[in-house]
Amino acid sequence: MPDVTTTTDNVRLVAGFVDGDERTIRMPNPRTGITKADIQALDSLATGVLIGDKYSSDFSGFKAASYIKITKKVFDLSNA
Amino acid sequence: MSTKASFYLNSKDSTGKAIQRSITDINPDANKYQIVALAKGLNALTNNTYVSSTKVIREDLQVDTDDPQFWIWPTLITDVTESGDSAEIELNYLGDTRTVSVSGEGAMYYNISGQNTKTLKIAIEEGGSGPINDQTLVITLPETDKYKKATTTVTIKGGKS
Repeated sequence: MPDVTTTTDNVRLVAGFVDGDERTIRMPNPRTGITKADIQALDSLATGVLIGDKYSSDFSGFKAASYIKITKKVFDLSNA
Repeated sequence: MSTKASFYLNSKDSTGKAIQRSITDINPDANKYQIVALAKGLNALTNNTYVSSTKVIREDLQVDTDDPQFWIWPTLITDVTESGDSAEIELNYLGDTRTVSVSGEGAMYYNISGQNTKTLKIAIEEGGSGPINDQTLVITLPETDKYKKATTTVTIKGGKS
């Protein structure tokens, strides 16, 4: 079996928290044409739901968003 | 005790393939309307079709304030109904066997054996023969250099209605 390489498109959001912590949320198969307003509209939906993973700090808003491609290569480790 | 919550966003792509995303570290008190709204909002950034959301709560009892040095679990093996009967109580606690002390309320007398094993046998006498009242006992493990004091209660059901 040869090595298998796959590439997936994602949109990655960076969520910020009051204690300064941040973490990313990655959504696969993003639609085209996502705007800043689309991301900002999520702020109110995430408030009261998302919390920081260190001190359960309150969500302060999405700080960044980007389209990313993730390439995954699965190596063939079977005996030749 | 610490409580961790997360939710699953279930969706499907244009081919019908099921897709599940886990969003961790959410507020355990967030209600379903809030969660569904956020799940649908996130899904709206994708080409996937929203299917459902599932909230997951995980409670971990072995962190923070629960210190196993304080734990003692009693299991009543045999009950009693009449004065003079012996109740048998299995005790589970951390570490080596220790000598326990027993106290309780009401006018009753104990004849206790097995105080330094993990199985107590307590003969309960309540002023002669015949049915007895329910007896609530307080079982205490003494503090040692390795373990802290632990206390529990167990109720032995008597034969009086």
